[in-house]
Amino acid sequence: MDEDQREFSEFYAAAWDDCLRIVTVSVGNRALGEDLAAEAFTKAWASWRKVRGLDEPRGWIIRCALNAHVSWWRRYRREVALGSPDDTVATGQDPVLDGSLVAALRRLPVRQRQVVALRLLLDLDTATTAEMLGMSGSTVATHLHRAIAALRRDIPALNDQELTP
Amino acid sequence: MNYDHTLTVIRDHLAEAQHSLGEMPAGVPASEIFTRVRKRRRRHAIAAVAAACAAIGLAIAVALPSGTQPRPVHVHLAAWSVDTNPDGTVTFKLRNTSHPARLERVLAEAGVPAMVRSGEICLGQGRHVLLPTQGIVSYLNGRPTGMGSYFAVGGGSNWHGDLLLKWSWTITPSKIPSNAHFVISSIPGNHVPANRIQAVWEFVPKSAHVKCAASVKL
Repeated sequence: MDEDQREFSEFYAAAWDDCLRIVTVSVGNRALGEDLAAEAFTKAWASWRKVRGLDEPRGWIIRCALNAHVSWWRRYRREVALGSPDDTVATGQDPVLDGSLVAALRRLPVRQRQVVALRLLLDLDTATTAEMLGMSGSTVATHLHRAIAALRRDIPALNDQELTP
Repeated sequence: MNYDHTLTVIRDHLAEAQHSLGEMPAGVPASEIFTRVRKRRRRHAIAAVAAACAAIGLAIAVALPSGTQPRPVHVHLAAWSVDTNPDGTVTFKLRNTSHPARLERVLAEAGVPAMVRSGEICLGQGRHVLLPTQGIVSYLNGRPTGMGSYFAVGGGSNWHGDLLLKWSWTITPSKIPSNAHFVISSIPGNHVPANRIQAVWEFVPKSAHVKCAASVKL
């Protein structure tokens, strides 16, 4: 195993669990979250020379996974359209993933969801989030503001702090 | 509740959701990721090579005449024109040998193999190198000719400005032997002396050694 492989292996071992949890909560599906995270780590290794130089490689993984989710959703939607009208994206009756907040998170537009994932789930600051997503800090703040407003509209209990995770 | 407070509440609840997921499955071994990437790179490399080969093949197919099968052509330039007639013969009119490479290609597509040069005079070398043209080239300048295999014109004061020939042939491609071709060359301008060749064509074996020079005695 060469130096790059050793370095990537260490990063992978340290970041897998965090990234998988964040991606899973963001997409609301455990199996899909695992697939997306695995694919994102594979892409990270393919671009390791670039990714290793980032301040927060885990942010790159999550952005990559959520971007892949968009592609997956577009493809899935086409497949559903051709299949049974009763087909839906099942979350498998997961008490955590079916919670009101996580469900509301899934309904956000992709950019807002990416900002929430990086800013609130990964706890990156605005500048790093902006760098990760290729947007300005003020755009990140705008997306976050709109996401919070949407979540508050969706979940009135948020205002009373009485909600399921 | 203000915005910052809501932010904190959401962050806390999302963190709780993450932890409530319980034990997460371990990822595939890193070695599996290395293997996947290696395989993808190999696939991409193969795809790139295949695409490059396809592009080269297409370029060659476009650039070269399609084997021995001539196709009808109708190309008209100020310097020359090539037309395939309904009976399969080819009318070739030459005023000068501008765009020699294109002329070669168009003639080849019409089934007339030729070597065309501009700015120099090219002649097959050796005795008995000229091939008979009976039944192959039937007309020159619209008149039936007892065609020889060589036709040249000299320079001199009768040339005005750029060389302007008025050669016109009717050629029967199907009768051209596979080992023969035309060699056509000319020198543009009016500075070629009368005792030197201004333009020439001949019908010679492809294997014949062809020598080109800027000035050749008539």
